[in-house]
Amino acid sequence: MQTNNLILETENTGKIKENRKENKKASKSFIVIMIVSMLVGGIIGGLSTVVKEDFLKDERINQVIGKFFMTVIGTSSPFVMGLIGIVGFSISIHLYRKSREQYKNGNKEDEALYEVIEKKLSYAIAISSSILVIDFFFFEASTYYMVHGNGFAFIIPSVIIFLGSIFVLLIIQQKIVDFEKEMNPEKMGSIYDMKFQSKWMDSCDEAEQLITYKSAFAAFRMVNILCIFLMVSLSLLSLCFQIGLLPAFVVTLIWFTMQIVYVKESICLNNKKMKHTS
Amino acid sequence: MPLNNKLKEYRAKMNINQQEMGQLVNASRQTISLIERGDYSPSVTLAIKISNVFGVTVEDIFQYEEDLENADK
Repeated sequence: MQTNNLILETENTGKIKENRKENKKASKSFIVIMIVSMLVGGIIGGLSTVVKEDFLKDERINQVIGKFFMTVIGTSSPFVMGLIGIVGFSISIHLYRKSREQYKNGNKEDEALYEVIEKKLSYAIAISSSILVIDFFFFEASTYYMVHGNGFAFIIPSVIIFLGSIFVLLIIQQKIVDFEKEMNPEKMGSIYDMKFQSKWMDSCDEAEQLITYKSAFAAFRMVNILCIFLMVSLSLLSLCFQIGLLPAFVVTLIWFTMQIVYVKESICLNNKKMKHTS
Repeated sequence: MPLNNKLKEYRAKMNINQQEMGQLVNASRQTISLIERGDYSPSVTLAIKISNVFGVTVEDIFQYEEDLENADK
């Protein structure tokens, strides 16, 4: 017993020394990055104040700039939504049709065939989902312009195009999901089901779930970086422009939610019995 | 450490495709493809199910590269 304790103590001491060494090594570049970031931030902050004092002193300039962007984005919203929709959905539909054709005419014993088709369908889903996100922004821009810029004329086409985009997106995604289920009969779930994501995930096996988890973690890391970038950018912008606190609050909310959900899930999963699906 | 496998060989002997293999072990065709390419190491449960399909041991199908190197030495 004493020998075991001694061995443990020796291992712990070794680990502590290793940790200190690792921290010392990494902290050198970390400190350099922090100093450089503070200097750059200080310079940009200082310049922002100069811009504010010298170029944006007159509050009317602030309003003109704000109005300009609101008008440009607000008036162009229906056209941009329409153009993105036509181009994006055309590509998605083309990819879907090509995949269907390849599946129908191809050799179903050929494993490479499925890889090519899966890739095309993934791109089709990615494009159509991205269009929805962009459309949400431009629709919001239209409603903002309607209320604050008297842009009533643009709201109706924006609404029509927005709702049309959602409709087309649902049809495309339904077709793709049904096609996936044809190729992979074990897959379950209808996209019109509110629980589609969990049903689909439950029907995925261990490798597919691992791919999803790894992809989600990559997205989590990227959003973390993005939130830092946004907070810094918003801080600097607020020195020059009257953007209010709402943008910073929204970023904080998203960032905070992500962190809390991640930690909560980690704790729950650590306490649960982990099992593979197969 | 990479895991070598002879899943494709055994599958060819039985004349079944990846889809059918997946159905036999309750896995997707994609997973079978990933395993054969060496891009995914299956869980213990899945490895046992796969070996049971062919009536062989897990070690007959899956081998650590390290074990192969030791065997050669």
